[in-house]
Amino acid sequence: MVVFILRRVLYCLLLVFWTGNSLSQLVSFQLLNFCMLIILFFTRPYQQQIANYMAMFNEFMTFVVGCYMFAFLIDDKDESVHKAYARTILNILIFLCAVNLLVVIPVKLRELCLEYYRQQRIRRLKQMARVERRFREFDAMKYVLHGLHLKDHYRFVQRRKKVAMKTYEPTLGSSDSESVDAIIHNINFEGDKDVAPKDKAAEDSV
Amino acid sequence: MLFFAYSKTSLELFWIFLNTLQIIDFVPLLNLKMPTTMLLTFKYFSFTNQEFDIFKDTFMFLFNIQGGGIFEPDGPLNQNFENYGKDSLRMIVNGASIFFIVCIFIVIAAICLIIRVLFGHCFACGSFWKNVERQFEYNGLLRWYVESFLALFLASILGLKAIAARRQAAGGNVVSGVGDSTQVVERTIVEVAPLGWAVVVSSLLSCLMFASVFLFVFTLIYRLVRYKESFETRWMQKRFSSVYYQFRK
Repeated sequence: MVVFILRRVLYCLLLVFWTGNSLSQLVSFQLLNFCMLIILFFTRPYQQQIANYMAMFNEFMTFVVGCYMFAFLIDDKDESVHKAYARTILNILIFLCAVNLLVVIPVKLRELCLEYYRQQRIRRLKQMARVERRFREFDAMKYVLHGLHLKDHYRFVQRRKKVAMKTYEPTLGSSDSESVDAIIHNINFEGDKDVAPKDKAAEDSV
Repeated sequence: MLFFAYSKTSLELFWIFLNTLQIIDFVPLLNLKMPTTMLLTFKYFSFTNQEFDIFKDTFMFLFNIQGGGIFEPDGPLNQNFENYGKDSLRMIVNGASIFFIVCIFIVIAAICLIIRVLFGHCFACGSFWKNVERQFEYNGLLRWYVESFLALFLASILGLKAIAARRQAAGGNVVSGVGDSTQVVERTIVEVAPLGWAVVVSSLLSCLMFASVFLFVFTLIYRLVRYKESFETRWMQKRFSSVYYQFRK
């Protein structure tokens, strides 16, 4: 990191304060690039090997661009030499960009795939661990007792009541003055053993 | 790239590529006579140093810097700097695009803070805010500083150069001959009006930026010692491996 910052600091100082002699400025720029290349070659600062190679490649290409820049020190009247060198430099830059993109995108996609598979694997392992834990903690007796619990009976009773509510047909009394309370009182389930309200009304009429 | 950025792996290779392009982007500032086509092509790389014209224009419009609004007229360092677009020595003018991004950062941070204060309890479960803060700190601030360091430092040095030229002009000294560039600086500085607040702010920013270079290194060392354990975690290594290893080196 210190080298990274120092290189930039020196580069800026070079651009701003060393404007007197173009040759010495360019030589210093090349020296900086070369030093950075050497440092990268010996220290290998990045974790991935491919990152180290790419950093070295990029520095080398910058160095090559700097070498071609020496052509601009020549005093060229019609600029034909300058233009030819400029074209070469631009081609080098295009090559640099192309190589970097061709490396960055596939490597990144590969990393993404590996990360995805890793996540999948972790998820599967977690699921297996969960199933295993359930199996270990499984209590057969409790399960059986739970199965015999009143749950089913309760469901049966509920279903019976529901059926009764559906099949019941309310009947109104003969007189209009019969109150609502009486109607509600008459409501009963079909299966009840009490006397049905129809029969009771019949008895009264008799 | 956004898709890659939000994935759980590091963008190490991309940062290496970007750092190289940043160096190449400033090559036209070397004191060489280059063909115009080449300069125009190099101009396309200016986005690597966060030089966006739309940001720069907006910032300059907002703070009335455009057309010598708060500054007196200024001149470029030399012809190459002028061709590149750095037609002033003021740090605020040269780093306008970056400062606009700083403003965006501040707005985002303020919005996050407000959301946290108002609806913090909604996101209290899990490690949502921890992740947001960590992402903002490393992917937002630290990475941004590392990547914009070159442009900021160049702007700060140009600002210091402006201060030095002003002092020399005020003292009646003649700037030693460095070709056309210094003549431009000398001429503009001599014509200077009394010291305005904008000039003071710009000069202070330049000094601050220059000092921050050393401060940054010390801060890094401090953080390495203070948060050594957290840097050793697998998550940190995987997600921020490039920054992490840059720290370690």
